[in-house]
Amino acid sequence: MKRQFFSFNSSILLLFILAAFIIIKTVLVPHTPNVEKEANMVLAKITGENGEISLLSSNELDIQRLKMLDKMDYDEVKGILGINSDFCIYFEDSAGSIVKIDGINPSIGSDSIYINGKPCR
Amino acid sequence: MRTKTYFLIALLITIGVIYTVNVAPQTCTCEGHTGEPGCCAANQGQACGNCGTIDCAGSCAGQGVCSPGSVQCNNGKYQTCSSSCGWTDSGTDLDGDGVDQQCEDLTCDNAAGVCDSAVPSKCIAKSSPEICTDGLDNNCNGFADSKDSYCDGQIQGIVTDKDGNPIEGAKISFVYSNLVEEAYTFTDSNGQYGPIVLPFGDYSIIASHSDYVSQVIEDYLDPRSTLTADFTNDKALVYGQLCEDDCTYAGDNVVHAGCDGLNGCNFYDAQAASVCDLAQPGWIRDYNQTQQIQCAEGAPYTKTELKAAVTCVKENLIKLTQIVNYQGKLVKMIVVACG
Repeated sequence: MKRQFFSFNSSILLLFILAAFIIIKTVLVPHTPNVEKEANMVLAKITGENGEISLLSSNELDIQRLKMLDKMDYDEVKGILGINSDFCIYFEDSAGSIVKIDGINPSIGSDSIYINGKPCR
Repeated sequence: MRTKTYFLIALLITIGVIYTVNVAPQTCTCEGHTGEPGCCAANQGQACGNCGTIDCAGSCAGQGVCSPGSVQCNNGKYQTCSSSCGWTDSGTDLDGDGVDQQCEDLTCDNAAGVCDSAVPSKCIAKSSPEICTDGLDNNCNGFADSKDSYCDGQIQGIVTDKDGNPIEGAKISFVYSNLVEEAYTFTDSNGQYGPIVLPFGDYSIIASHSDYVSQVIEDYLDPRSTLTADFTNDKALVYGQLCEDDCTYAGDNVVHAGCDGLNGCNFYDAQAASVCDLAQPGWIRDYNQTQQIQCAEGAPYTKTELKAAVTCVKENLIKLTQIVNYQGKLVKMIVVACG
């Protein structure tokens, strides 16, 4: 009788390994590209000159627009930005120290992001 | 028959002797007897002179016209002597006037369009005066157009108040079209200034005095001309409104340290006046190493020295930075995404 190349047990083992590989890839490998893409989207929208939530006017930070953004609902802002990731906006000086902008302390965004141990919002 | 035979033999011998004496190649066998008739020089065939060879008579024959490596200018053409002892043109004549840079065009041959003798449609003679608007160093002094002092003009004028009275000590600044202050001077007791020699071009001429509103005259100074810019009549200085209470000049929205103590302008102290000079009201400047100050708006305060450390409850965190202006300082706007 001709011997089978794969036994039933070997096939089961192979399927198990493949399934484990797919699960590990799906669960453990980070989705960095999406987060990075969304970070770029946020930056583009808040630095665009005429955007709905633009914060700049001739590369000068517009305090009134920043205050408006600070007062807006976080989920509403996420909807305008069209992102799923959480975000946080804050300001640093050239030495990396936090800059307090006109009483807005010190950041705008999600409370799942922490600046110096304190929630962004 | 025998006679004929002897005659033929004698004829053959005669021909042989004549050939041997007059036609056969001369073989030098004169060692030690150089110069004697029929003998060649001992150094025959050696090199001599400029690419020449010593001949049998001891003369240097076949010489070239120059010594290899030597140079000359021949009718404005730069020539070097080749290895075969002949002159070869090797100069540069970028301006096309027939005179090489290495000869008489030392100054100007590389200035396109300028040469030492006029060539129609190619260049103008360098002996001509500077032409101030053609982009060329016509007189070959190393400077073209407005860079050449030959093209300078001068500005003069008078400064009065609205009543026509001369103002002494008014500062007259000459700001060139590149926004650089080219020069400044002060008016004398008659309110007059200048003439000040300046490169030609567009100028903003600013008259300022701590007791008056400053005035500006925009004008063009032609090459080699005199421009009169009088601050009189509608350009006369108006008394008493130069400094406002926010330490800016009327209309310029720039803080001036010189306004301290005038018209309600009071800086926190001299240090504050110094660091805020030429800033805009509200801009932030470093007061010292630990403090900063908002210009024209109060006392110094301690800088925030809190280094930002960002964390995220999810796996991935991306930080992007954009440099922006905030109250006269560059700050980093940080966008953090977490997902």
